[in-house]
Amino acid sequence: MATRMMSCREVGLRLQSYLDGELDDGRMNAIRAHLDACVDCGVEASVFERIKADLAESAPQNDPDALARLRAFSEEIASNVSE
Amino acid sequence: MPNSTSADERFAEYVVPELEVLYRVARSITRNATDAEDLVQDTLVRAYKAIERFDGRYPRAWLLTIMRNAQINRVRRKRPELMHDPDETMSRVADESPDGADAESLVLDQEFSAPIENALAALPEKFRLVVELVDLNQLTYQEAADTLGVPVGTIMSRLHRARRNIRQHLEASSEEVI
Repeated sequence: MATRMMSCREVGLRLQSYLDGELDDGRMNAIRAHLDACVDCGVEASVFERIKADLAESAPQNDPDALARLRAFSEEIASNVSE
Repeated sequence: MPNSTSADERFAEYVVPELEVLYRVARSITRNATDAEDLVQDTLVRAYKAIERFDGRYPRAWLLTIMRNAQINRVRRKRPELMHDPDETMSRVADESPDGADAESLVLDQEFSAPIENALAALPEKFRLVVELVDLNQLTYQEAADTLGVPVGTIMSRLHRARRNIRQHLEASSEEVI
């Protein structure tokens, strides 16, 4: 059965959830098909994909010393809780 | 249902693998390395005490909910006047300057940081927090909702609006350069 092509408006409403992988498979596929066929929506998606990628890249690295202290705390958790 | 494995084994299986995520999220919530470490320790103690009752499903969501309650409790002790709205509390607590930085150093930091970081810093606090949870810390919408104690729909609307603001900020910045 052929699926109906989503409109640009419908894609716009769900674009962010699509980029976050938060839609079901059917909607993910429908939006992917629309973005392949529609230049305007494809450009819009690319802009937000780039913003998402830049944000992910800007995430500060965890302090390894703090993580080591938290791991040590976890390993001694039974005695920490009973204190 | 009684658990045949010990609390220590269940803690090692469900909690320890989430340490890095918990610390990253705590940094976003507290904006302060020392407070973040304290918050994670508090969360770990609470999780250990509750591990026998945990059903083993969605450990990250379970831990993030524990962390939210731990943070609300910490604020209740320090700033009882903020406790009227827990959602607002999470935003207002995170709004304080990170690591006691003064206004001048914050401005200097912005001058030398990437445009995307400036755009993020320019967001109102409750929008910045959602972007940090989803885009920087890679949480799902549900996990971000558990962390902040708000519905998933609120996460979606704040996130989408925040990204539009970031885009506008970036476009305005590039026009200034030109």
